[in-house]
Amino acid sequence: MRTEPTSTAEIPRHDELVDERLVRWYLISAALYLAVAMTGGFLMGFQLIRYNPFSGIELLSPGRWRMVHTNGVAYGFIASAFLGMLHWVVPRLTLRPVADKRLSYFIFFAWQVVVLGTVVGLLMGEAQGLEWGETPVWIDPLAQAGLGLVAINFMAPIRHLKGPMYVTLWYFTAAFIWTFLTYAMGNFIPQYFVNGTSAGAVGGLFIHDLVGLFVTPLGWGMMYYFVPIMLKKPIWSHGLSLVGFWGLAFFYPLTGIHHFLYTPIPMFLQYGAVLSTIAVEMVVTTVVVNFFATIKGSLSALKDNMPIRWFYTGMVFYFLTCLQCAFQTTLTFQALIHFSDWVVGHAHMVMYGVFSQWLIGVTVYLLPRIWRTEWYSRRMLEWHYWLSVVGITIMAFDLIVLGLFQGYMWASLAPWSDVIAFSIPWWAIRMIAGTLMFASHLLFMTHMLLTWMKAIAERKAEAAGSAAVAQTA
Amino acid sequence: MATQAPVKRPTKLGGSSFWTTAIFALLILIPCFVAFSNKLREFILLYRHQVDGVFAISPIVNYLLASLGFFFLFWWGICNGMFTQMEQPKRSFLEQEWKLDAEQARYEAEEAHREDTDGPSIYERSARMK
Repeated sequence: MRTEPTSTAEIPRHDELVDERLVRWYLISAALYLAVAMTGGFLMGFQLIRYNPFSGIELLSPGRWRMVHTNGVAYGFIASAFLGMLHWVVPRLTLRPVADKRLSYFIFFAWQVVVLGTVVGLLMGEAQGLEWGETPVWIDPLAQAGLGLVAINFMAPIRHLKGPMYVTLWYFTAAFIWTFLTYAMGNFIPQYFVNGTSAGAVGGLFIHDLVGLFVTPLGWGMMYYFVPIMLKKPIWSHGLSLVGFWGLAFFYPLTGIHHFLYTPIPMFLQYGAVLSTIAVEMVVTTVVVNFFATIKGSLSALKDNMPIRWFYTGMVFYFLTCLQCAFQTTLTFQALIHFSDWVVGHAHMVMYGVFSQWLIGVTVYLLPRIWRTEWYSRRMLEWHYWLSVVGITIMAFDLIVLGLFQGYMWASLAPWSDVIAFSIPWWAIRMIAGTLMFASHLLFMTHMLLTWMKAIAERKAEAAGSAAVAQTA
Repeated sequence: MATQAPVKRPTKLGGSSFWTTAIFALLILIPCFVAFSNKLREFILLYRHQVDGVFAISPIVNYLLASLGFFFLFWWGICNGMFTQMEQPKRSFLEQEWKLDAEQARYEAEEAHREDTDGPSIYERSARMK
């Protein structure tokens, strides 16, 4: 059902609400961080096929590049792109600007210090011993304070709302609180307060909660905002979207321990994690059903509308990855695939196939609006999309299948060196897939630059035209 | 006081949407209740029989606190009418978006017209290029 716009009386102007310059800065910095993070992954790929271009250089050792890759994606690309998106969405949804624009700029610069400090710290070998929490210990308090300020800045307009709240704002509100708490739990509790199995349990919660309670609510909230706008019709069922939100809220916090099945953690906690992970799959199904029911009748948008295509490609990957998760979290399946490349394939499908695709879609939508121009070339957009999607599909399939082979080889007690020798050709295919993804991103950055230059040229021509008209008048 | 948008067309949850929502709600809530009760029972048994098992209290307390927080948030939502007219926000938000775009387009058109007649100042021109 389509709704039509009504009177525009008594509504603030967009430029009074949204600081477009800040949104632009965040989106561009996110693209730059993704390039750095992908460079890290690219170099790590060389190591896997036994060709390390920086052999013997400690600062550029593969283990450090790998951490730059993972942390660069999480805190550089994804966090920056989300912050840019939030500066657009929250003021428009609440009709109020953020708490303080000066605070927004302070957070922007502070976040650059956090990300760059993390990269430098990791390359210098100052990693914290926790997966996805490798940020050096001296960065943690700054990042924690930054997350607190982000919550304050964006919650200020949300707290003034009265009446039923759109689902996007439920997700965002929860994400501001969850991210702050999750970061504190993962970076401080195992470091300073608990150790042994308890630290392992907390670490498991942290790894998965960072995906489920930071990236997922912001991602879903973002999709519930942008998809209806671009399809020009409301989401199929708002009630169902709220079931998804509350399901996530009650189920997700316990899923993380499924990373530590077969450990000394009490079995009832492990079973609880397995059960709640399977329940999360049902929650995911509500979201997927809702979005595919929304696009019913507008399927041509998948061909014509590039952001919609990015979004729905990400949704297909999301469903696949969560379905995979529901299986791989069972004890039987876990015995086969634990420590194998299956997990790496799964992680790439989640972070690149889903959330990066959604954020790229948002960038494709927002940058031309901010620059008041069209993209420089439709063909470049198409190449960017297809290189990226073909790349991640090959990589995910390659690593998932390889993981099964590795699991069976380990189960049959094959020597470790045989498993490595068997894996190298598969890692070469992974390298090719990664090259496609990296090339797609470099193409996108070039396209951004060309579009920006085009926008400047158009502005100059427009200004010259106005001046000429004024002179003749 | 800001509201998300004026309430214009209160709508009820349609037949198919209602049943889909209800079925998913039950599919989620029943396993949740069973799982939680089971975990609580096993935790009490563990606590009674193994002194070392007390270390499991850390993740349990984490989960209980998170769940309790969300229970209170849920209750707050009910008390503040967040779940009345369940389908209304999806339409009011879209109307609001269109109004924002229309208002901005009108403002920019007016500005462009003003510049065509008066000409932009040097400051305005340089500010636009940033």
